[in-house]
Amino acid sequence: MSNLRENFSKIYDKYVDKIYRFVFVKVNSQEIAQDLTSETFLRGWKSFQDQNKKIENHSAFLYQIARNLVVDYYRQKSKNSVISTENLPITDPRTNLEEGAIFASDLDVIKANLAGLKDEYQTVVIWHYLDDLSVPEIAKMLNKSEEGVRVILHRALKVLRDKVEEV
Amino acid sequence: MTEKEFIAKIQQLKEIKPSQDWVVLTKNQILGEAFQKNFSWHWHIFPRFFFLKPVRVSASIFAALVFFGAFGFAQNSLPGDFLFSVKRAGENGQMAFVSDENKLNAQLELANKRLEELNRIAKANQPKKIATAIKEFKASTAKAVENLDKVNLEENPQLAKDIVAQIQRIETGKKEMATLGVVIGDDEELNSIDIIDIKMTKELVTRVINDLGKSTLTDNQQEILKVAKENFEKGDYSAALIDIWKMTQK
Repeated sequence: MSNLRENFSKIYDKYVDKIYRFVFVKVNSQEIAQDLTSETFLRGWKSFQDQNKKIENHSAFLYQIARNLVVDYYRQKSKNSVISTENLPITDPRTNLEEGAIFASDLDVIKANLAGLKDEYQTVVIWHYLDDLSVPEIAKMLNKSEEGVRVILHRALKVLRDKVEEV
Repeated sequence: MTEKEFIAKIQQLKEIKPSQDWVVLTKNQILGEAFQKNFSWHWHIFPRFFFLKPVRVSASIFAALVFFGAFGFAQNSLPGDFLFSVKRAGENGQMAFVSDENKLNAQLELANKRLEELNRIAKANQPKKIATAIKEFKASTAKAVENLDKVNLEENPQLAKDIVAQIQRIETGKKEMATLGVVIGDDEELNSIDIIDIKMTKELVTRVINDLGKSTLTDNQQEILKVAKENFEKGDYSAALIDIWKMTQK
């Protein structure tokens, strides 16, 4: 049991930041992102302990749980997503105040508009540009062709850019 | 804005991170359930004894229970955290069971662990903990040096390989810290890792020179070996190693 725990502990350390960020960008709330992320790992841990279940790709498995939880979250709540541009804690490496203010504002606009994209577009943008997953990896996780993923990525980027440039 | 610039802006969202305290707390809550379950069977036994006669748990047993309870939760603590001293005490306790010959390797493993903790602190942007974390790292490498003479590398070449791998990990880790703006130690001062490195190089060169002395060499190779031995006698082990490498290229 302690071996299982140790192994899952390493998986947790490896993916917690990514899963949190993935959920946060979709729900745009720190509190909800924390709840859904901890639920993701709790469910992941329960499955991990089940010796009959062989999890081949831990990353894909956790992302799938997180995606399902986000979908469930939006099913329960009405999707009156007020696109908020509130400042939420983001580690900002810059110390210059003026630069910092501009940086936070740009980031908030992108974050808000990313949250407003349809689920599939959000997912591929986050996975490819933030989590550094390759197109083949994303294709496998979404059960699509690589060409299909490239098309989705291209369209997602275009829609996002149009929305951001409107602001 | 070009597409490249736009993608770079999106990638700035990589800065979104959970708070480290929440990460640690959540991990303990999830995995701590298993920890608690492992010990739940004890409670089936204790209550029976409590009912039979009054039992006074001595202060030392109570302290031990609290310590071992805290030890589980201390595993994720970082230098500067309240429970870090518990974690370090646990590691020192485990070190007592390591044989003298393996102590150097074990201490270097701990030094690498301290470096990983420093890395986490720097990435989580916790400047107040950085100085403490650097101090802990230096202390761990200093402890490794204390165990340098207990190792017989000639009889244990695999151990030598493991130690070299640990040193390389440390050097890589230090370079990564430098890219994050965290400089460990003065460049001019001979730090603990340099001391270990020099000893390892000396041991390695000694072994190689002895082996080459028994081999058949060309005139040119013999000349280079002579120079390598001279550098070795002068204490310039790195130069001797380079000379030996040159021999292999001829």
